[in-house]
Amino acid sequence: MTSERDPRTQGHDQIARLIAEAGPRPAPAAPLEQQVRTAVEQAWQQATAQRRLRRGARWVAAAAGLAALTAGLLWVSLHRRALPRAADATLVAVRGDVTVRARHEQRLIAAGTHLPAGTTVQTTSNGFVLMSVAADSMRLGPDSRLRIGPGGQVRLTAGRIYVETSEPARGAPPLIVKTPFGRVSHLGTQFQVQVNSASMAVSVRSGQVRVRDASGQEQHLTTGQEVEVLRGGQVQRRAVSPYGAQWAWVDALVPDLPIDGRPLSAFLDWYAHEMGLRLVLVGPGTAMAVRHTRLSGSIAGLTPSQALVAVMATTRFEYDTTVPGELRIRMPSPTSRGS
Amino acid sequence: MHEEDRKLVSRLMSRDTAAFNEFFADYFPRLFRFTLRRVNDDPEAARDIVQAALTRGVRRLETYRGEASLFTWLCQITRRELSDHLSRLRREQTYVHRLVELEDDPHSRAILESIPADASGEPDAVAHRDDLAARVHAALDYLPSHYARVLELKYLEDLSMEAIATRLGVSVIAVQSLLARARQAFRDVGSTLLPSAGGAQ
Repeated sequence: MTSERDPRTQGHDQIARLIAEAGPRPAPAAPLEQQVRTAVEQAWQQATAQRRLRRGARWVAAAAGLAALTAGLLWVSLHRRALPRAADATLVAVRGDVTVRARHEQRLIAAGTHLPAGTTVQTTSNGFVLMSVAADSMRLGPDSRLRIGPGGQVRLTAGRIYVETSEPARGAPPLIVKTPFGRVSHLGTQFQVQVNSASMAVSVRSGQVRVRDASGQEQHLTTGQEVEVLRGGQVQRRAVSPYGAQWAWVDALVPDLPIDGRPLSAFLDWYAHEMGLRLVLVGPGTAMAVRHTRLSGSIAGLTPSQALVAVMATTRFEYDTTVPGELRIRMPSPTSRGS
Repeated sequence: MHEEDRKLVSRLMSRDTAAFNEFFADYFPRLFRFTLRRVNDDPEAARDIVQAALTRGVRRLETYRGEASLFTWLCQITRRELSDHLSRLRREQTYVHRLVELEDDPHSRAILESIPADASGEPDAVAHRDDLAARVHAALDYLPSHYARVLELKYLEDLSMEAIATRLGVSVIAVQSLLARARQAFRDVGSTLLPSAGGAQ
């Protein structure tokens, strides 16, 4: 029977079977992809800017000879200083009602939309925005207004922003969040800035930030610290928990994490990072076991808390979030294993 | 010559943001999978290697001549980064020893073996299926992305020719032609990676 079939059709069937059996190609995790994207995009922008400078310098030299070469080099030097030193922003995801305006023109809102300097992003009471600026990730909360500035600077005039940054690349300027009450620059960290008509509050979840208020006075904040700058210039410093209600809004729009085919450890690391918790793997062998447990399916559209419940239900591990600040994972006890 | 790839590189060099989005969306996942298979499925190591390779690649775009496909060119850069990574790893002998000891530890082994195998088969069968899947994925990654895409739409998502045409914004005739070329390319690539696919005519 089979031998009477068209060999070409048989070939098609074989390709169909191979591709279907192999299943979809595994996608890299979204946070990981975002990290690489921002770093590569920054390198690409720097490289193209340098190529332009080299082309400009060659033209000047050819046109004006040796004497003009000196001027050309000066020109290059001046232009190098004038170049914007960091990437513009890019929209990663949007939820709820969000308006994006660039120089009086309303822009299309879609993932991947480029937001040049001068763009203002505004959310309503149900709006959330996830975006990248240079090598940094930012989430804008409800009722917020943010203007993208040049050189890795943003200006928050209302609402709240959550920033997740890495160490600034060599030669790249750090991200600076400006507000009417002062400016916040990071030193590799996760933090949020909240602004209303009376004050600005800066809370550091991990890492360090530097806050300079309108009078020029500087505050250096590290993990678990918060400073509030009031309209009159008064400054109040206090401790802040890296987890809990104050950070809950951040979970509304998180970078997507594809889990299909990934180890459980990758999901647990992601959850702990998103929630500001410390991951504690209890008992011998638990660390290795979570690394060797592969997940399947998807958590798209779930908040981190919903995802934790859904994912852990498919594994044999027990988890505990009752210890403040910790996510504890353990192997099941022999009695519960048998039941 | 790979004209499409040269055009993309040319657009990248003229600072076209849409070209960068296209470049990254197309090549990052393929290079990531290419690397992941070579670093024992360690996503952090794969991320570092691919980031270094892509960074190096975008800084040296002017050296791309179009003699090989852009993917092949990027794979060459990635292989060099992989080689550096493996050299560094070899230098970290204590780390390697510790890993070996952990794997040899009877308690750790018992825990690993107690994790239930996939319900669909015995360990050998699972390993064979995983190996086959990895080879098919590698073959798809080596194809031009629009070939891989049309094969997946047809054979993985099981879409009709009309639905694929709608999805890709082209005519049904164009889809048929594209699919025929994609199948042939898959056979060509698969003949080295997947002997069973290469034999199908």
